[in-house]
Amino acid sequence: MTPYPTWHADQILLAGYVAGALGRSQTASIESHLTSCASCRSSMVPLASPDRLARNLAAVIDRVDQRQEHRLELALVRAGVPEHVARVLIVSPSERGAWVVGVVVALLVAIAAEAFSGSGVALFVLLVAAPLLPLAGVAAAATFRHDPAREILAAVPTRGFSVFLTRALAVVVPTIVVALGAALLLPKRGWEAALWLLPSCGLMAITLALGSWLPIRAVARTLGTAWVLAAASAAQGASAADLVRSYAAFRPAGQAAMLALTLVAGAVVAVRRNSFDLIEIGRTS
Amino acid sequence: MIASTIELSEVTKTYGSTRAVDAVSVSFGRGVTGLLGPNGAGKTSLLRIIATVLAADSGTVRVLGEDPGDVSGRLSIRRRLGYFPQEPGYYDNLSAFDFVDYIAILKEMTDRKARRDEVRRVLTEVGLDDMMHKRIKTLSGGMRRRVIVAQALLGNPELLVLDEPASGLDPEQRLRFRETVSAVAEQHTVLLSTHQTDDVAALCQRVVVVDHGRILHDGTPESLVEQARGRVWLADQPDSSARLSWRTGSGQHRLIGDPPSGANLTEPALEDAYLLLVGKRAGTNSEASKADGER
Repeated sequence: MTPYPTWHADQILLAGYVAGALGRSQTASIESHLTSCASCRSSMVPLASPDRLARNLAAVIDRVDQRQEHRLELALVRAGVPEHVARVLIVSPSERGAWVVGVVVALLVAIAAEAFSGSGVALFVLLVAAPLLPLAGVAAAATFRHDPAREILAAVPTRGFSVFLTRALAVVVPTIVVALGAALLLPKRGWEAALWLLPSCGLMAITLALGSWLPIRAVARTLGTAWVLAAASAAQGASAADLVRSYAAFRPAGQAAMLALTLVAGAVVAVRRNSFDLIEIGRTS
Repeated sequence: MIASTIELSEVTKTYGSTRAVDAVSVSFGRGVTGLLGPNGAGKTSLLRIIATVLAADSGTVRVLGEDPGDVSGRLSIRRRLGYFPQEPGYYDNLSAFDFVDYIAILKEMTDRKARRDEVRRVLTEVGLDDMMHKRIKTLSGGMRRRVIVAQALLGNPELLVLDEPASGLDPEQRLRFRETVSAVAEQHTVLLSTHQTDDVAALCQRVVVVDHGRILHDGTPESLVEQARGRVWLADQPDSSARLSWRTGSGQHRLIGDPPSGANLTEPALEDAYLLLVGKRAGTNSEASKADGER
């Protein structure tokens, strides 16, 4: 049982404590005393500022209510991403986890094939397949039109295009990082392993641009199929060593064309951004 | 005189050959207005047009002084709007706090501290202060609906559009909900679509009855009740001449419509008046009709 205190703090001491003007040892002493002395606690009440108490209480509640923040969210904030953007990136519903696992597995298979065969076939397959992964990510993000909370999202001031873009980035960025990392791991290939990046950007930008008029998923499927068929056609009759150079998209002119397409399609998307609204209004205006 | 928050003029919306909203002209101002009507009457289409998520085919719509057909007008409305859709969805794996926090960010509340305080405020307002960190999938149906009410209250909106928010709430939750809505309505405009005539009687200064895309009644709940005065009866037996009838808990039959023989006139309730207005036409009496309406 706590013994009844044998002394009481005077008003000057209490006022100093409330104002935070005491030294550390005096503060600790008063704090310890206050926990067991109702009389001094009562004496302190008139000295305390209601505003300050409210602020302190709010800070305590905020700390107690602290949710478990995602490690990735914390990392993004530390990297300079605004807190609310990091929140949306993390919270946005997406199949990001399963998506990245799928990408990693596909790329590990390609790397293993390359290490095993060393023929250049695996690199070509990887360069053709890699742009399809972020492209499929964009298509997956388009499911925001079937989002369970779409009716609520449709009535918020944040534009549908921003919501869509955030979700697309949440899937596409990790995919690109993983695919690029895996491609760079390929033995003795150097910069060639990054040749898929510009075609990937071009395919995504064209998909978004056409997706402002047409269903995005259908556009992505059509472009992806065309990309693969064109690669297969170009590879016909090419030797294993020349496979990469056989496809125009991987040659310097093709890369420049992909960059130009990305810029033009990006400009179209910027102009047509209102068409990504979730609502019927956006589709008709 | 208080200016109208919402003004609709000759507004029409059709889906194929179905005219969901048929040349409706109406205005709404501060306070709670209840929208009553059977399923498919056009209430939800009307509310979706007002909530800027559906475009009218024709007519003029002004909400909070803005045109929702205009991009900047729509944005301005959405910044001042709280919306509870008829079929609200949520992300099961998020906590109630995280879900409302997510919506708060999309409502442009970017300051972390202020946003979190606001999220806590609205979740406390709907009585979820102890449950806010539970995943939504572990909450009961009534609690989930309260999460949706909470997101609608974010930012103390000038216009609150609530499409059947109270279904699934238990009596205590419903009382709490009424307190919340009436507090908002002291300053702002609340549109409440419901099948619950007791909610309308308890909350609304004005009731608009909608059926087949048209407004059948627009006035106070009392004026609607008055329409049924002299047309509600209690009898020991059902009567085929009544428009609607059902057996009450006391064993008597409540009859609505033309005066049957041997029946005693009784005080009408809002529900009687509503049923009289939208219920089955004369000569198609069915004891089951009331039960059908009760789901």
